Amino acid sequence: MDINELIGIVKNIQGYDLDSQQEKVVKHGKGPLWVVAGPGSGKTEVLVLRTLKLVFVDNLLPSSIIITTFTEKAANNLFERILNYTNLIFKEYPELESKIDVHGLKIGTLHSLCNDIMLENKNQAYENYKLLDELEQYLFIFEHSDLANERSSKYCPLFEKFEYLFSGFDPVTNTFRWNKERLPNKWRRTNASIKLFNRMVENLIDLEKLKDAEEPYDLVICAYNDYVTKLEEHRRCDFAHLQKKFLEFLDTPLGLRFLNGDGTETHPGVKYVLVDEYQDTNPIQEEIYLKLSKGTHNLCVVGDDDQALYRFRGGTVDCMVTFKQACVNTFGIKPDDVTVIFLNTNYRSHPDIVYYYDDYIKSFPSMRLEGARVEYKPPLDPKGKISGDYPSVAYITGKTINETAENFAIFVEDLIKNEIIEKPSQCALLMRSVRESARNAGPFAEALRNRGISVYNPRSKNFLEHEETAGILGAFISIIDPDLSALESVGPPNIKNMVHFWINEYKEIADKYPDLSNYVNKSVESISKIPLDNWIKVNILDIFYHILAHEPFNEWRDDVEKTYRLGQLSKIFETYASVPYPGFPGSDRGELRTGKTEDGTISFGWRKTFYYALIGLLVSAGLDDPEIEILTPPDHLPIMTVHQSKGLEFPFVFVYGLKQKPRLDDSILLEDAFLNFRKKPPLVNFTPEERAEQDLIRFYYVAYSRAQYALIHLVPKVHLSSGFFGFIGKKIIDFKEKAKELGA
Amino acid sequence: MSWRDYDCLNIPLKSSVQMKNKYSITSDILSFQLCRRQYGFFGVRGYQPAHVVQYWYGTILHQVLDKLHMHYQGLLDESTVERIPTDEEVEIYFNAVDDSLRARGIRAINSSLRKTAINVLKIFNALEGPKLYPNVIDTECDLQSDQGNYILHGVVDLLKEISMAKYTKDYDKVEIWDYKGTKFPDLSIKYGQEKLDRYVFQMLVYAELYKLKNGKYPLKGKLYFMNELFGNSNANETPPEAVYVVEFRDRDINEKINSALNLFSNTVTEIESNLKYDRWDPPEQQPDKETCDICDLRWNCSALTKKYPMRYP
Repeated sequence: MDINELIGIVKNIQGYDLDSQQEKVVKHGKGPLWVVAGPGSGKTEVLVLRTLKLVFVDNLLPSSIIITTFTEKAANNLFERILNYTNLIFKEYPELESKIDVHGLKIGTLHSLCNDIMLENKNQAYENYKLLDELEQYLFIFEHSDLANERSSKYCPLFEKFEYLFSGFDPVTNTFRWNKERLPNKWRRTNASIKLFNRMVENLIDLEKLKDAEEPYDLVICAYNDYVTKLEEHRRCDFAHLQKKFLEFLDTPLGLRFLNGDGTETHPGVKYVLVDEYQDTNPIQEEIYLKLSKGTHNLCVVGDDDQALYRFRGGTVDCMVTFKQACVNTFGIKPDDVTVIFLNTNYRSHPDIVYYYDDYIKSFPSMRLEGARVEYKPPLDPKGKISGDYPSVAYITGKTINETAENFAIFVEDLIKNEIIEKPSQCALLMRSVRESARNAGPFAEALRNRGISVYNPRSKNFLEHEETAGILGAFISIIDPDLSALESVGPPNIKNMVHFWINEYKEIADKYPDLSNYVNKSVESISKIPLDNWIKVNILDIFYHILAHEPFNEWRDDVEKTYRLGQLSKIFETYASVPYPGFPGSDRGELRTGKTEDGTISFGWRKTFYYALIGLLVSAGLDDPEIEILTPPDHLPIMTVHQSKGLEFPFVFVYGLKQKPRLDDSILLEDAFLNFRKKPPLVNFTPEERAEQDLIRFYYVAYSRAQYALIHLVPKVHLSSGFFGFIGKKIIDFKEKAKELGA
Repeated sequence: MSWRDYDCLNIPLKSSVQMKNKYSITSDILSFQLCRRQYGFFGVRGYQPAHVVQYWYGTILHQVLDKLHMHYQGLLDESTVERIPTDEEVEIYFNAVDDSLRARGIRAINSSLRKTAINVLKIFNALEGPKLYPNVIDTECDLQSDQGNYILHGVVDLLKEISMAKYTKDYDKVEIWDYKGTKFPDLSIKYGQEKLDRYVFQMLVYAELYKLKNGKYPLKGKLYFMNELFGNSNANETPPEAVYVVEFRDRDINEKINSALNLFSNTVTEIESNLKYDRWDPPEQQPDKETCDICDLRWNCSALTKKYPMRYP
């Protein structure tokens, strides 16, 4: 098939032509390709078509092509689209069907591909490793890492240097600052260790360079090496080290066979690499992509530097901004050998919205600094189907946040009542934190619900407060710590309060369901008869499932919402059970044992650790509901973080939170602390303050560019003052000129 | 200004695109056929089982067998190329895999099971290795096919070239192998026959997946019941019960495969109708005992004719 045939087929299916820039991307031949794609410019479609071109026109074996996306959902979506086109192509060219197997394409997140490729190629250094998710990594570090557990003042210089990671409110002392007598608490040290260790790997820190650095970097190496040793001892691997292992794998004989192929169809080698959302790539990922394409130079990256959101995962926009230079340095080619294509036509939003966010991002001096954006970026060019003379950029206000929320809910209700939209899911409320507290999503969710509009807010962090989760935890604790003696020994009041809340929930339920309380009481009695220092014949998940077998849980496990939370809780129990005891690889914390000194109770140490490690984490971090739906249920209005909204679009987008100031958060400070120790020195240099400001500006840019028909700010009157970053050029005058006020 | 400013708009709801689900022959279709409730809870709703049963045995057999192939191909160490592993080497590989599994908390229930596994592997290596290893085409081959409304998925343990076979235009000179870490099912009981039927069904689906990828059917499918090797007195011959062959070069092959595919797609339809309402009621008929004995929902399940007594810690 030739390229024009392919493009013709696509046109027949879609009913429209590719624009000239899109066509260039699809047609591009060999060599690095840098696609700078603005919001709503059809970049996913272009990636799909470019893949089809490689398979059907260039006749490459699908299994020699790697495509990475940012989420599994996006990967599934991409593959689905490729598959649909492929089926239509087969209808016209049936002879191709037995020759081409697009299922061979390697599509996924970089993490999932690293994992799958190493398993598929039997990388011995990755055999039988347990991949730790966030919760598992937390629990592992909490129990095992020296940095979280050392009781002497050994790490004080490190705490001092990384003060922003280790200071913070301590509910026991009621203070923010640690001191030598009272070191930072274990939860804080655990969280800090996660950030520190992940960052060191993600930013490709050179341990040799760290060795030569002044104090306390020697302590950093010491803490990090201790962590890695323990990971290996227990055959655990976190997501950051998964990538490190993959990079190392590529240098082994099996890795080289994967990379270069061996002439068979089973091992065709890697011929093309395509990367979506490249703006959120971190240095170790950049290194992986460059290494995968070092032999071919066939690396195509697609992204928008203005939409970078993931510095806290080690992402640096710099990878996107400096792609050309990175290719020049790594491949030893000339700058002109890197093809740059700008996809700047916007098909998503009303033209006024497009002009608004295009003006917005350019209105800040910090975005005009060299290296802040991809150079020579053209302005966005709106060519979508949406038009009309109505206030497409507007704001709703009120005296307070509550009044603003009320006016917003009335407005949404009117939109539905007057058939401007069909369903609440055609709106989205975007904000920084969707916790349903008074200063965040609380008033908005309440105002909507008061008007009968359901809200979809899976990240509201109140997972542990539902009757089924609280009830089952209460029942479980009533069995393992019936007199709450271990709980009483726990310091932080927030743990105690939460556990008491669960116990009360359980008691209320148990009053109505005697079978349940009977089971709990008999279990307590049964444990009380077990002699000292003996194994108990059921593990913690067994207890969980026995509770679940009783009403009302038995009925709840078939309730559409409750059952997913209960399932999630079983996963948390399983995770906790799988954390080995320090020094005992393969041990299973889910097995229970009676105490050595006290009759008829579960080991005091076990109970105490359960509260400190697991409950402490659940309570301090807050847990999200499992996200069941791939899409928002149509009768619900989604309240989401800007991060959740990445890649999505909605007819009406409401954004709350213009009164933000850039914060020097730990991800920025940490990046700065390790800047000079990277294996490859960064190609762009900004101060932490500049990076913080740029990040905040990009954050709103992503929010604004989700809107199709209308972008509506929610701004309480008290926030309507100059100097904050949600406004064009920080100026309220410009803002009021561009955005129209909506009355109730 | 108010909502009236937008009265000119009437925005239709975009219909959401239903994404295709991927169904694996073992973890979806066979699991669902065994018990839809168990499948719904552990396969869809994310419940985690309290005990991972039989995981160690199956895993160690597969992983060591893999190492033995790689040893022969010189992929672990170039110097071993085209050399059948010795008993000592089998043991070394076995211990390495066992250590790594143990570090993860996956271990043999007792030392006799461990001994069984080593012996079975040693016998297999000596008995089958010389014929098998030189002819291995690929191991753990991931096969998928788009069936219109869903994607069919299966992983074949091993593909072996049958070099001696005569050329036929309709078949590839290939055998597909599936290792079972059990004895041959007892056909004198209903459940044993059902089990074998499920294994054959699995092979027929693999044959179709193989054909969709490679254009032709393989010649044969081989189910290898590894535990038949244990206690085998004649070490020079494969015990007849160890191997069950599914001939694909068969006059009725199209019919057989079609009926397997129909069963597959009917099961998918059933799964999807359950998925739609997220309802996973207990089956009308009680599943076999083996399925219920390992199920964490057994403490209260209406499919059971006889209840499991509640256990206290």
